[in-house]
Amino acid sequence: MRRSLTSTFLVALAAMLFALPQVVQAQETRTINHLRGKTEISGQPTRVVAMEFSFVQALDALGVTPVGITDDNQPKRIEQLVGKKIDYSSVGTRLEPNLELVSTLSPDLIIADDLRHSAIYSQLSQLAPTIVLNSWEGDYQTIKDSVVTIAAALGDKAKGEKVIAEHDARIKSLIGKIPAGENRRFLLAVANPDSMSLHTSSSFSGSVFKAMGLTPAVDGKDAVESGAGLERLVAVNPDVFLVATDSPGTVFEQWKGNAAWRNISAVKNGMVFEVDRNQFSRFRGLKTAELMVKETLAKVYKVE
Amino acid sequence: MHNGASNPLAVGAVFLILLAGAVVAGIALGVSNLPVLRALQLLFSPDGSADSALVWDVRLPRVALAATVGANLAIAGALIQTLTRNPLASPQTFGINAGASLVIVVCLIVWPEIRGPGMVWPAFAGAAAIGFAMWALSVSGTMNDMKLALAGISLQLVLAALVQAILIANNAAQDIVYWLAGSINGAQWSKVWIILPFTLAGGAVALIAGRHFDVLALDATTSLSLGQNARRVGGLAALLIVVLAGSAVAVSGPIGFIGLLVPHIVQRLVGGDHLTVLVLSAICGPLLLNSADLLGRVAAFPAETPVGIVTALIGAPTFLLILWKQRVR
Repeated sequence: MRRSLTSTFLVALAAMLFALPQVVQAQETRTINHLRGKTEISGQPTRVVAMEFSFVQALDALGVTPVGITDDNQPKRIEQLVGKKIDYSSVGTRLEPNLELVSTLSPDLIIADDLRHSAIYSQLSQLAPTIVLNSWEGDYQTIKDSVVTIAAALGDKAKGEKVIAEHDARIKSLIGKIPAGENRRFLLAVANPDSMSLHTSSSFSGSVFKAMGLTPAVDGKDAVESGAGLERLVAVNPDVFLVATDSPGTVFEQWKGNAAWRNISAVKNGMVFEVDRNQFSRFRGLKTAELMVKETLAKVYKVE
Repeated sequence: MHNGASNPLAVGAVFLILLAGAVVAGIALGVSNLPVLRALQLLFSPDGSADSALVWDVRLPRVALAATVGANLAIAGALIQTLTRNPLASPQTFGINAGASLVIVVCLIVWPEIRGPGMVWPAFAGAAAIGFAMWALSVSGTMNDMKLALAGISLQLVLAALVQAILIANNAAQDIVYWLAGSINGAQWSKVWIILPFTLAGGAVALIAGRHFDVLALDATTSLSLGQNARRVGGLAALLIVVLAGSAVAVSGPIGFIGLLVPHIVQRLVGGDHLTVLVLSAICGPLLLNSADLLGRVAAFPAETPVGIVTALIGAPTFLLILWKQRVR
């Protein structure tokens, strides 16, 4: 009887000790709407796990270094993504995040991608408050909105809005350098060993082109049209053609000697440019958008 | 097996007509809205226009690549089935294609500057290594046809998994379909020129030596007593298999099931001696691969489904059917 009394007392004491910080944090609780519903977040999360590159860039813009990133086990990419070496733990690949590693980091916020991580949303939610956003198929506006949502989740929505306003101002001044009356059709494609993946008007790069006042060469509801052969490319016939590569041995090398390739408008006019696949296709962030605009200006219009 | 009674000449003629039809369709059809008649007209009188380039530099090399790769795989399949006396044998089911693929992928990672013709040698090395392993298994006499084929398929799965692991680890996941299933979407004349010498030389040697291959169908003691040097003929057949399958993988990835399927189609239709089977396989292979490629081009229009995926979809049930017949027999 005495023993049970003592243990009851201890349990009550423990409960009080645990409840104490909870009470302190509960002062500021907000509800974040996202693609998988609503998530309650309290306080200001500091241990954030980011499961897509664009989220890492958003966090960086908001002054938060994620504790865990699904970096596809390619730390160099993260360095390229944020422009400096940052201290984080890898939690596996974007396709298959290692939930055990996520759990050991004891995160207080997880940012997941709709397409790749919706299936594990409930598991992620058990580890930490989780918000699900569209990065994989996100266009420029979606990515910008995501920055504000992430800022709100971090407890400082105003900072997100400020970051976007500053970004918009920089983009606006860059776009001003594009000559008036530009009506050429722009295409970004990723080169593979036997075909290309064409990025349409609804892809990130396509919507960045649109934001620049340029015309994407392929209109489409799906962000990417994959498996495009040379004949398809000839049919699309882009006037300005950015080819994203990251390893050698693609059709971009093989097609160069082909007579049909030489008939593509961009090829005839010397408007084919090789670009970095990470920056133009994988990252999809604010910084990426600025870099894409700058590179397009430098390559196509020769203005810095 | 030898229930076919059709006249080989008649079957050959039908194959040739169908092949001509597939080739014409391959040249006439495409994702751009080039009219069929204009495409065919340009085939006979190229005029240097953009459309002409499309026909001559995109569609024609693709048809030619399908033809050479199809012939290589079909002849290699006929040879390996004769050599091992195993109806389930083929460059794919014995892991030879996957072996070639794996060594190419490894070499591409180690020496990224390897291009075009340079990929033939690692392909030969990989095909030869796996071919030797399978040959050693088959002469050990511990396995029946079915077990040997299943061992080959398992080996192929392991090699494919290694290819996959290497590509993912090296951040080249987009290359997986090409190096696992094979594709001719990126066909170029340069690729045709790489494989063509091997197709011509390999095909010629196979046909010249064709009547000697009959001896392989007999068991070794019988052939020795007939005064034939079975070992030398077997060695020649093995060399041809490695060269034909390896060069095909080097230009199109490990396209499957052509090598398994074609000899069976031919044998069902005509049966008979190995020379006839080889000749007809050399026509039926290009026919089958060109048809599969046409299917791949229209299936997900305007995107092109890699032909290796189409042949896998057709081939897997066929493999099971052959396996089933073996069991019944």
